[in-house]
Formats: sequence, structure tokens, C-alpha cells
Amino acid sequence: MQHALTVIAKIKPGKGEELEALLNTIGQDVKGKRENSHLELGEIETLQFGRWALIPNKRTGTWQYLFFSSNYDGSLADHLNEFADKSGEAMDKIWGCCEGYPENRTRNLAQYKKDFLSFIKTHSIDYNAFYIGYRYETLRSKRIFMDFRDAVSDFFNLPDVAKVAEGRLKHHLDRTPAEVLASFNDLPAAKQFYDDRLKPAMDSLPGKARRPRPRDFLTFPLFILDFIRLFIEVIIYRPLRNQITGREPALNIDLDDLNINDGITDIEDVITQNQVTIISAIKPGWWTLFKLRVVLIGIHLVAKHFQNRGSLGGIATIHFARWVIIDKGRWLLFTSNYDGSWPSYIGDFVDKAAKGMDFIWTSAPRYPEQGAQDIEAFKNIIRVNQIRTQAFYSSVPDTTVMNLLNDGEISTTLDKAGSAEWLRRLQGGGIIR
Amino acid sequence: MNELHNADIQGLVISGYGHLYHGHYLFLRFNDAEGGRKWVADMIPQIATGARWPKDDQGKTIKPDHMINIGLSCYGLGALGMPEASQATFPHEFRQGIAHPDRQRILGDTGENAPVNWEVGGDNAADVHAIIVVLAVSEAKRTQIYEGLKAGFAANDVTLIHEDVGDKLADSREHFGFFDGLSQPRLTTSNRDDKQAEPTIAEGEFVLGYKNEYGQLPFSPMLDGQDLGKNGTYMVFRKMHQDVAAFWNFIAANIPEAEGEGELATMTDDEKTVWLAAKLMGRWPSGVPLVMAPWRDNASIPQDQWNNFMFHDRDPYGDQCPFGSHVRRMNPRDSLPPTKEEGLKTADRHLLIRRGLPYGAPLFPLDQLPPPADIADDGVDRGLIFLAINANISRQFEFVQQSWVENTHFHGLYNEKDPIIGNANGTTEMTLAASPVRRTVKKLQRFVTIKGGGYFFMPSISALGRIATMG
Repeated sequence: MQHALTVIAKIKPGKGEELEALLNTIGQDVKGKRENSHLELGEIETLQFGRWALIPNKRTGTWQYLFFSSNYDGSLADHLNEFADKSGEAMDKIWGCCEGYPENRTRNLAQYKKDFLSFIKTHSIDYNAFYIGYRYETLRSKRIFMDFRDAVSDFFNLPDVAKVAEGRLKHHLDRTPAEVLASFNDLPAAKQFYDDRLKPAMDSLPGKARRPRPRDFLTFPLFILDFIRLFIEVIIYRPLRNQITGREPALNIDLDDLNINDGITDIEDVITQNQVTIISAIKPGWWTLFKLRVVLIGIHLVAKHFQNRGSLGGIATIHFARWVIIDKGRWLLFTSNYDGSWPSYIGDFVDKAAKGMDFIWTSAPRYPEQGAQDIEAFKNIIRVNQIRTQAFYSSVPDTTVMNLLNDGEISTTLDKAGSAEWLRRLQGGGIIR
Repeated sequence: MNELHNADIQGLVISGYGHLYHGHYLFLRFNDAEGGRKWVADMIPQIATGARWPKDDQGKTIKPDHMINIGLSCYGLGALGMPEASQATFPHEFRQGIAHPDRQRILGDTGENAPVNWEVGGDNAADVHAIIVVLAVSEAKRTQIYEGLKAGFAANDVTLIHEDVGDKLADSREHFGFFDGLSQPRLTTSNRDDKQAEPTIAEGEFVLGYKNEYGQLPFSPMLDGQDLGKNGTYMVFRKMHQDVAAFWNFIAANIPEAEGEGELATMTDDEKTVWLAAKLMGRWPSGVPLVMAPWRDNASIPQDQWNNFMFHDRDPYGDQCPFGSHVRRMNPRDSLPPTKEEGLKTADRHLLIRRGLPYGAPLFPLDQLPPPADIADDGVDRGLIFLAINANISRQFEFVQQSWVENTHFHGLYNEKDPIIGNANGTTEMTLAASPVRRTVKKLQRFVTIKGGGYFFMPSISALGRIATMG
């Protein structure tokens, strides 16, 4: 199961520019897919996606907050310990620009890990809705599936195999995919590839894939129960907890309309995936905030119970997305890691989920009167509220949600009888779900 | 329904002028605002509109023997003295221009395709103020018009900075040997008499001032606080050089070997070569779509049916027309996931009206396919003058280029670009879907190189009048 970490920490006075330069360097390095000498993100095995973005204060013209988010596997402590162990120096440099960061890493690592966890927890904010494109897939399983699919693809591209595949396979479609792969072992080139490449890749596959609950008669009752539980948590428990513990304090974020040219677009389209970080104001009034909270509970649970196989409202390009109400209900933070271009991503929202967009973002001032259907106005309001993400990291940058789900199916159905559909999957196309 | 005001719309938006075989594309700089405006005013009476062509006594339509249309770039609007406040009402991508680094990134105009290598619209982008599109019934007519236009340049301090000519090739083929210009969107209030069953597209996708596929009026520029866009649109110019020898030699080198049963095993190498080229294109050289004739061209299918198809039900897995083929990318129809209804809705929101003509002499007789083995390039510059008409360059032309042509993961694929016009560098591939198992063509090359480009506002006749009298 993947998790979403959202952290907003106040930048020490005078540290903003230093931090910006540092994050830009990290962003550039990640863009160029080189390993940053200070931050070996590629070695952090619990990190699927990560980003650092600076939140400006438009009035003072300075960087006010550092925003960090990650989509990680396993426990938060393990996730942070990996950062501490593998990129400790970078953590000191980045988070050292923020108030309250422990500075004891080099003196006492064990104590530092506790303090770092506590620092992150203190500044973390619970999400209101979280969407996962491929539930239960860890970075490790994603990489194993991608590698296996590559191996199978190369196998069928072997000239000796390609030459005879059509004629042979027609008669073997009732066999399992594993049997089909082994059926070419009379060809020496195929046998060698099978032994050297396919077999090892096959052996590293996890036994059985964990899949989301199938939809059945229990889904709806579970949805309702979950809704009640979350409603109580979001409306009653969290505010009380925050009141008592002082968590999620008021931030006094002060943003204004940002410029479309403000360095947002020039960091897009470097890899297959892209990101958005949007911070939009929530109109004042308890009713707006209440409605928004309820809508987000609904979206979270629809994503969890009904749309948990790579598609949110028919949009099949989102790896992870989250909505987080921050600053005591004054702002809505939205982040997403998605495939392809920004215009196609926003276009997808409008083509397939315009109503959903309207439900959420009518909470924002100056949201188009005709809603997302007024696509140019909708695009404009998004760009106006989007902030630059200085450093964006993806662990598997050149693959898509559709590819990953397909790779997973190819990798976990080897012993299923019949191989027609399995062979179909090798072509991609996103047709078989 | 809001009928198009055809007499106020430049003719190229409404008609392809299929009977005018000889094109001339002139790129101008206005050296003086007043002279430039005078030139625009002088041009207005000569500009062909979309009004219905007159009929003779027998009721037969009299087709024009030429047409002239014009477009203005963002630099041209400035050079004509348009106030900055008015220029600011034009779309962001138009104001940046096609050669801006942001647009380059979106369009994939990098490497050999980068604007720095262009003949027009790259390094000299700021000098390209206007484009004239001339179509003429004969070369003589084209020359005659050219002489007349040149006199107008001299009189108004307008410099001709670049020109291209284009001429229709036999059977409407382009230089690779394929029938071109087949698929065009049909407008909702289209007054064409064809009976094709294609769905119609809202006018606002191609003409400002009318509702688009979202049910919205497109963004429209303003002048002096009043709308300037209505009945106008935007035109994209691309000069696309075609490496014909490289294309056919690549195809010939990559035809599949097949043994045993199946259609491929029965084909000669020449048949396989044409078949593979058709797979990359998505149509046979004749124009017949692969979904109607997957293995061999079928001359018995009448031409009025060639556009009369959808993908989803007919070819759900791309066995006939590959998902990644050129025509399935340029207009996926109802093919894109998740459903055919959703797919069609999305596709219809990113269509282009394509106008344009080939330039340069053919490398080989285009009716004899495939060309001889190992055909060598003769060094002649040849290709296509591509013009696209759309009401929103960003959502239409740029979207098609970025999200369909250059997108390596289009339609759930893994690592493919448009095999005909994609900016490939030997790292992408092409999947030929098939039952029981797909084939793959590896290491796709770039066969088309961009040599020029520009974004132009194509004002209505009345808007041209207001532009001519600005200031």
C-alpha cells in the first residue's frame, strides 16, 4: 500500500534564495536523469514520487514555506530513515533552511532519526482525498514487472521467434503463457534467451499479486460505512486533535494570481510524466468549506472502492493525486503526478470529469461561471493557481499508468489457462482492462 | 443553428479549392506601419471569401481560376501599429510564435527540426509579418498574380522575404506516394453536398465567433474594445521536407519474415513493402483505409467511402490499422480508451482543417510502388507545404503535435512516435498489432524534417478592414 506524505515547513528568514538555488539544481539534475551528488533519490527504494516546491508570499516577495510531498511504500519511519541514511547531507541542506529542523544528524544519528520523524510529523498535514493509480504496487514490484515485460517483448522480437510465432501460436492458445514461452525452446536462440534473460526475470516475480477488492454486493455498504467513519474523522476528530496538539497550525499563506509565464511551463515535458502543484483559495464561509470536505471524502472513497484500477472518472493517466485542505481551511492544495502533456491532462478532466472538477473547485474564487466546460477559462484558472515545482522526482520516469497496469497483468497471469489475451497485452494499447 | 457568415470568412477556411493545382506562399515584412495598412486595404477586394460560387445560365457552378488569402503574424500586427493592449488579447501561443522555446518543446521541434535550421519563421521569425496564400488554376495564372502582388509590395514598402511554391502531384499524391488530404472535418452547417456519414464538427473549432465542441465561444481578440475575431481564425504553416529514399529504404529493410500459415507468408517482398508502408500510414497509397482492406488494397471500394469509418468496433485491437499509425494518430476517431463515446468526444476536440500542397519534383513515378530497391536520394528538395486551420492553435494543432504525434505513449503504447512525421532518432519503435502476437519494427528514423513554420491570424474580411484603418 502506498502512502502520501504532505509537509509544509516555514523557511528561516534569509534562507529562501539559498534554498531555491539548491532545489533548482536538484530539479535540473532530476530532469537530466543524472543522479544528484547530494541526493541519490534513485537509491531510495520507498520513494515512488517526490517533489519540493517553494510557496511564495506575494506581498513580501519572499519564499515563505517549503512544501514537500512524497508517495512512498511502507512505514513513514522507514521512508524517512532511508532519506537519513542515503541522503543525510542533502536533508541537512534542504530542511536546514526551515525552522525547527534537528541539527544533530552528524553527532547522533539514532537520535536524529527520531527527531527528524518528529519534525516531519509536526509539519505534516493529513490529506482529504488521495487517488492511487495502481493500488498495492510498490516501486520494487513496478520495476520487476517492467523488466519482465521488456524481457518478454525482446523474446518475441528475436528474429527466429518472430518468423515462426504466428504459425505456431495459433495452435497453442489454450496453453498458459508460461507454457507458450517455453514452447520455443527447440530454437537455439530462443532457448538461450529463455535461460539467460526470461527465466531469471520470471523467477524474480512475486508469487501472487495483491489486487483491490472486486466490486460486489458489499462494496456499497462498505462505502457508506467508510463515509461515516471519515466524516467523523474529518469533521470532528481532526479539528479537535489539532486544537489540542497544535498540529496543522495556521500558516497565513499569502498568494496572489501568479503569472502563466512564471517558470511553470518551462519545466514540463522533460520525461513521460508531468506534475502539477496547485494552491487555490477557498472562498470564506463555513458552508463552502464543509461542502468541500464532504465532496473530497466522496472522491477519496469513490477512488478507493469503485475506481481503483488505474482510472479516475475515466482518466487513466494519473499515478497519484491528492487534495489537502491547508491553513485552517483557507487554501486547497492539489498535487498530481500524471502521464503526458498538461493540455491533454486538463483536457481529459474536462472531457471526462467536468462535473467532478466543478464540485471541487467552485470553492475557488473566480472559478469559471460555466465550470470546466469553459475549457479556456478553466485552463486559465488552473495556471493562475499553479505554483512552480522546483524539484520533481519520479522513480520510473518513462512509463505510464496504462503501461504499468499492463506490465503487472503480463507478469502475474503466467499460469492462467489460455494465452490469447496475454499475448494481446504485449502490444500495449490500453484496450484490455 | 448559427449559420456561418461565409462572405466574411476567408475562402481557404471553407474550401480546399481542389481544382486549383498551383500554390504560391509568400512571406512579407511591413517596413512601415502606414504602408502596411495601405497594403492590407489594397488587398481586401482581392481576397477570396467563403461565399458560394456563382452559377452560369445553365445553373452550373463557375469555379474561380485563382484565390488569394492572407494571414498576419503577431509581429505583423505590431508592425501595422496595433496597440499593445489589443495585441495582448491574442492567445499566448500566437504571441509567442511557433519558434519560441516553449512552442519548440511542445511541438517537438528539436534537433534537425529546430527552428534555427529553418528557411523561414525560425531565426527570421520577427521579420515574418504576413503570409499570402495563392492558389491558381495554371502556372501562367500563378505568375500573373505574382507580378500583380509584387507591384503592390513595391508601392507600400513591403518586402518579400521568402516564398515557396507548391504544385499538386498526379492523383493527389504526396511524395511518399500516398493519396493526401482525404480526411477533413465536416462543419455542422457545412453547405457541401457530399453524403458522407461522418459526424459533423462545431464551427467554433475552426471559425471564431461560433460555438465550439465544448458549447463555448472561442477566445477572440479585441480591437478598440470590440471583438476582432468573429469570422476569423488561425492558420499554421509548416514546410515539411520529405526524405523519400530514406523512407522507402527503411521500409524495404524492415519487412517481416514469415513462415507457415498466415497472409504474410503468401506475399512477395514487393507486396510486403507496400503493405508495411501502408501500416505506418494507416491507409493504402490509393487512399483506401486499412480498416477496409487490411492485407491488400481493394480498388473496388468507392472513394466516397474512404472516410466513412470508425475504429472502435471495426478494429478494436489495431490489427488492421495500428494504433500508432499516422492516420490513427492524426484523427483517432472513436479509438481512444476508455470507451468509444469518450474517445470520439476527445478526438473531435482536437481536429484540424488541412490545406496545402506538395513542393518539389517526385523522386520516382508515384504510381509505381514500391520504388526500385535501394533508391538513392537525388538531392532535390521536396516535401509538403502544410497549412492547418483551427480556432485554437494550442488546443488543436499543438495538441495534435504534442499529445498524438510526438507522444511516445499515445493510446497506451510503450515507445512509439508518429512513424511518418514524428521527430524520431532511432530509439522509438512501431507495433504492428496482430493475432496471435504482435510484430515490432524497431529503430524508427525521421523521414520528415521541418524547414519552416509560422502562426498566423486569418482575420475576417471586415476585421481586415478595421486593421487597415487602425491608428
